[in-house]
Formats: sequence, structure tokens, C-alpha cells
Amino acid sequence: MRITGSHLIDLATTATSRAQERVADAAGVLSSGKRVELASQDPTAWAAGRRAADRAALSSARGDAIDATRTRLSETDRALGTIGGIVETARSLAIQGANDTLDATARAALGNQMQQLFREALGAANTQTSDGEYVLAGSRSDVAPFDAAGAYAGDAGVRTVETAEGVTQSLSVPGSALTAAAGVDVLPALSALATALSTNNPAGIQAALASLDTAGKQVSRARGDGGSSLAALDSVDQARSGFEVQLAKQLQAAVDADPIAAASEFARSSQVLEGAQSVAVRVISLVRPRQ
Amino acid sequence: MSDLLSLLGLGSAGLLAQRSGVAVATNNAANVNTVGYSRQRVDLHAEIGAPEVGGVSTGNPHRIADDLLANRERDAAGDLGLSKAVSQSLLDLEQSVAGTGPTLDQQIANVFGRLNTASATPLDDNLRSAALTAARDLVSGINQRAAATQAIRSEFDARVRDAAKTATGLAADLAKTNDALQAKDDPVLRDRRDQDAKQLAAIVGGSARIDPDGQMRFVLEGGAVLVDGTRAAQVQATTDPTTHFAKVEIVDGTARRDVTGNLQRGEMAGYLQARDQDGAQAANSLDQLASDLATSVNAIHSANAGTDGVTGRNLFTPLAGVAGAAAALRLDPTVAADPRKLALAGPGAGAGDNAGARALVALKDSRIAAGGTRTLGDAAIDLVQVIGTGAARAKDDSARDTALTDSLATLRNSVSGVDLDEELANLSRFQHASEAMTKFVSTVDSLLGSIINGL
Repeated sequence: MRITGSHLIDLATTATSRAQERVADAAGVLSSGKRVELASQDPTAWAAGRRAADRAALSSARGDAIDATRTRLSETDRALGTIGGIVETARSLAIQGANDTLDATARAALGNQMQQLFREALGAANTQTSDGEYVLAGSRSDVAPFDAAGAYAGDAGVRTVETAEGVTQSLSVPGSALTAAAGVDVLPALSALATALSTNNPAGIQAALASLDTAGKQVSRARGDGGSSLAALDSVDQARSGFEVQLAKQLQAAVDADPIAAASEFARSSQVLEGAQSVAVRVISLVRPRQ
Repeated sequence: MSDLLSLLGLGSAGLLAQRSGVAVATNNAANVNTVGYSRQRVDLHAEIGAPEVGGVSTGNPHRIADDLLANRERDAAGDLGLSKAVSQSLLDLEQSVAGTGPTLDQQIANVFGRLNTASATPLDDNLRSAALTAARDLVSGINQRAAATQAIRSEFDARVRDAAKTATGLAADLAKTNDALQAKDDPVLRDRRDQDAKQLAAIVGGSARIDPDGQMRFVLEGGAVLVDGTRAAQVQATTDPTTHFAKVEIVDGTARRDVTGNLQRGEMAGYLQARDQDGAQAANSLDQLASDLATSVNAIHSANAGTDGVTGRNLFTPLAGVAGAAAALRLDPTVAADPRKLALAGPGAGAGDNAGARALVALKDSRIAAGGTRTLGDAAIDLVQVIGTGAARAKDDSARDTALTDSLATLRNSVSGVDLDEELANLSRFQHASEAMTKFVSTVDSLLGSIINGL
């Protein structure tokens, strides 16, 4: 085949130009650390990277939801703990008040103490989170769930939250757990004891004592439910962290450059460029007209 | 003496022939860098009757070129024009649809993520606002992409119009060159005609053939004649009143022929493909995504309640239809103005209920897009991935066509290219022969002088 000098120069120029493009590409990958930034660079890898990134973003948002739920459950646990403690104290006062040796004055003093405990229990049952939500109100959490008499105005709504892909968990304890629907009306039972003590009513004290036994179990059960939810939440949050690490690896595998491969490609392409440049210089000197 | 005079004529003819060789070699060397130039050669012919009245004669210089190769180059130029235009256009389209900020799938994931977070504490106004902000960003992202897709399609349209003007100019030049070749068969004119035809093929595809009368005829795919000898039609881009984009017409006198759907190769076909197929598909997919999003979210949202317990509100302003949905998508102004109207609670439930939020979040995993085959996030990824796949394929096609074009250029160069060493050798050869002929004429002239002086 007949090869002209000018064609040799064209070939050398084209080869140098392509080698420069290759070096530029390799330098871009090496400096950015990204193998795929546009879908056109590797459509399948780009899409896999996007899916991993989106799943990671959703998982991170679930993390925020878990944090908010954990705060709410902790508030709930604190409130139930307070109520549970008060119920225990109330039982002691009831036993004390049921003693036949006690006179009306002594019972009235216990009644005053019990009134104070009832108000504390009522306050705990109407606990609000920092954003003003009542933790023991079920779904009617924008209004105080228990009135002054301790009657429940909330509902039995349980909040369900997505905590992992395809996993939703019931993560709240409604105030209905403290009502007759679950045993006895806990707060009215406390109130009834206070009244019985104040009015020197031994029969009423005995009746309240029986109710408080049930109330204590109810509060414990409700607290246990909340605790289980918290434990489950911690467990799912831990799994979430591991899941996000996996997603980060998937994203990395899809679109990130392997540093060693990128550095090798840069070195190789640089060598190719140097070779192409040497050839171009040699070709130009070969085909240059001699004097 | 008459013999000596014949020898003088023979020497003179030889001198002219060698000088012609010097001129051709010099001309070749001068055009070593001229694009499309085919080297020329002068053939020397020995005259009959040597040694008394023989000698050498030369005709016009002729170009060394291969018409079959020129045809293949034109075909390859059409293919390369198409693949380059598609490749570049799809990269432009990809950038328009992908955008510069967060991707659409990312914005969709962000909306569902914020809704899920808000579902944990539905009365938290900050989280409601965050969810609304994410929805607003998504609407803005879809609106921007709709505008960018329309803008890039208009840019492709402008490229079609520019290409039509260039093609008209080249067709006219080609017809003029045909005309000039009728008057004089000049190798340079043939080179110019080949070059024009190649450039024309790169723009509009088609094919050219040289008829027995030496005139080139250029025909587009579908049979429309663009150049017929000395007659050239015009390539006109006229605005289609329906699409508002240009349609391509071949106008010959009063006759007009719409060839928009016939162009298969050349950069114009590439721009048309990017505008009417890939660009249109991207715009349609974006509209479908916006429509699916608005329809499915509104259905859930309106069935659930805000903190005021009121149901029946849409999150997005209802759309008139799928066409134009991406540009028309808006957040409902009532909900947008008050995060508490975001329907996170179930109907009839308390304000702290999150059944509405959960139903909205569940949409992310539902196949509600693309005719019920894809999730919204997947549809957003598909939108860009389809363009990216097309761009990657077009890039490969372009690389393949470039390699073929380079290979044909090598072949052409091997036949028609000027080699300076070769031309310098020819120059030297003709120069030596010319010097010898000068010496010969001088010797004969001296002999003639001696004879004349001796008379």
C-alpha cells in the first residue's frame, strides 16, 4: 500500500490526539474518584448507583423517623414509669389507709397525699413531647388525653412507622392501655382512693386497693410494650446502619473508580501518549523535506 | 539541414514535456495540504517515427482518483454524520434531562423519605414543612426538566434549520461545479465536486452517482433529487404549524416534497432523530411521570386528612391530561401555604394519626408509573437511563463510523494523496530531463549555426 508522508503525519497526529483524550479521561477518573458520573458512561452501573443512593436516602430518612419515635417512646416510658411508681405508692397508702387503727384525720392526711399523687399521675399521663404532642393520646395527640378527673379522651390509635424496607412497626402506647378497656381506669382508681381516704371510707379504700392491683399490672404491661418497642427500634436501627454500609458499598462498586485500576490506567495512558508523541516527532522528522 | 530542424522541433517538444512534468510535480507539492486534492500525473507518450521525427508528447495532466472509493467515502460520511449528530445530541439531551442539581429519582426519594420521617411525629410542623419543601423541590425539578427538554429540542430544531441552509449552499455549489465541468474537464473541479458531494452526504445522507455525460446526480433516501447535473433543488426547513418544529422539504421550482421522514443518514437525520424520537420520548416520559405522580398522590392525599380533620384536598393541582403535565405540575396552593393541611392522618382519625402519611409513603414501592409497570423512582431513573443508553450506543456507532472513515481516508490517501518525497523525486527526474533537453537543443542549435555559417 502506498503511504504518503502527509498521511503518516495525519496518522501520528490522530494517534497523539486520541492518546491525549485517553489521558484526560484517566486523569478525570483518578482526580474525581468517579468512574461513572453520567448515565451515558455506563447506563447499567449508573442506574444501579442511583437505586443504591435512593435506597440509602430513604434509609437515612427512616433513621430520622426512628430517632423521633425513640424520643417519643422514651417520653412514654418515663410517663408510665412515673404512673407505675405512683400506683405502687398508692397501693401502700391504700394498705396503710385500710388499717382499722387509723382515724379519720390520719386518713384525711393520706387522702391529701393521694390527691397530690393523683395530680402528679395526671400530669405524667398528659406528658407532651417537645413539639407539643401528647404521648399517651393515641391518634388524638393534639389534645390532652386525660381530663381533670382522669377520664380518657384519647383513642386506641397506635402509631405505625416504616422502619426498614418493607417493614412497619407499631411504635406507640396509647392511653387506652390505662383505661377499663385494658383492665381498670387507672387514674380514676387513684382518684377514687384519694376520695375514699379523704372521706374516711374503708370500704372505698378496699375497693380502690383491688383496682390498684390491676392498675399496677396494666401499667407494667403498657410499659413493657413500650420497652419492647424501644428494644425493637434499637435492633432495627442497628440493622439499618449495616444496611446503609451495604448500600454504600453497592454505590461504590457501581460508580466509584477503583483507585489502583484508575492509577494504572493513568500510567498506561500516559505511556501511550509519550509513545505517540515520540512517534509523531520521528514521523515529522522523517517526512520533512531534506535540504 | 531539414533533419536538424526536425531534431530541434523534437528537442523543443521534449523540453515542453519535461517542463510540464516539473509543473505537475510542483503543483502536487504545493497542494500537499489541500483537503480533497487528488494528486495529478502527466503521462509522456513517445512519438512515432523516431529517430528522425519522433520525440515525446504530453496530454493534459490527469488526476489519480478512484470513483468507487469516493462513493464509499460519501456513504461513510453520511453514516458518520448521523452517528456524530445523534451522539452529540443525546449527550446534550442527557444533560438537559439529568439536570445539574439533585436527580429526579433523588428528589422523589427525598419526598417519600421526608413523609416517612413526618409519619413518626405527624404533628411536628417542621417535619411537615420539610416534606412540603421536598415536594416543592420535586415539582420545581420536573418543571425545570420539562423546560430544558423543550429548549434542547428547539436547539435540535435550530440545528436542522442550519443544516438545511448549508445543504442548499452545497447543492448549489455542486450544480455549479457540474456546469463548470461541462465547459472544461479540470481535475481540480472534479476534486471540488467530490468534496462538495461528500460534505452534502455528511449533512443529508443520500447517494451520488456520475452519469455517462460526466454530470453528478445527487439523490436523497426516498428518491428526492437534490442535484441533477446543473440543476440544484433547495433544502428548506419550514415550520410545521402543528408541531412548531421544522419539516424538511426539497423545493425544486414550484414543486415541494416533504422528506422529513425519509432522511436516514447524515447529521440532519441525526438532529431529527434527537428532536422527534429521543427528545419527544424524553418529554413524553417526563409528562407521564408528572401525571402518574400527581394522579396517584392526589388520590391518596384527598382521601386523608390534615390536622384539621378535613379530607378532599389535593397535594398537586389536578392536571388537564398527560400532555404538558411536566410543565404544568404545581403544588396545590392551599396545602403549600399551610403544612398542617398536608394529609398525614387517616379520614376520621385524630390529628396525630399517620395513616395518610403511611399510605403516601407506600406509593414509593407501588408500580404506579409507566402504565403500572414501574415505581415512580424507577421511572425517573429509566428516563435518564434510556437516554444514556442511546448516547452510549451512538458514541460506539460514531467510533465505528470514524474508524471506517479513517480507513477509507487511508485508502484514498494511498491512491490520491500527495507524497512530497515522490514529488521531489519526480521534480528531480523532470528537471534532469529538462536540463538534458536544453543541452540537446543547444547542441542542435550549435550544429545548425555551424552549417549556416559554413554555407
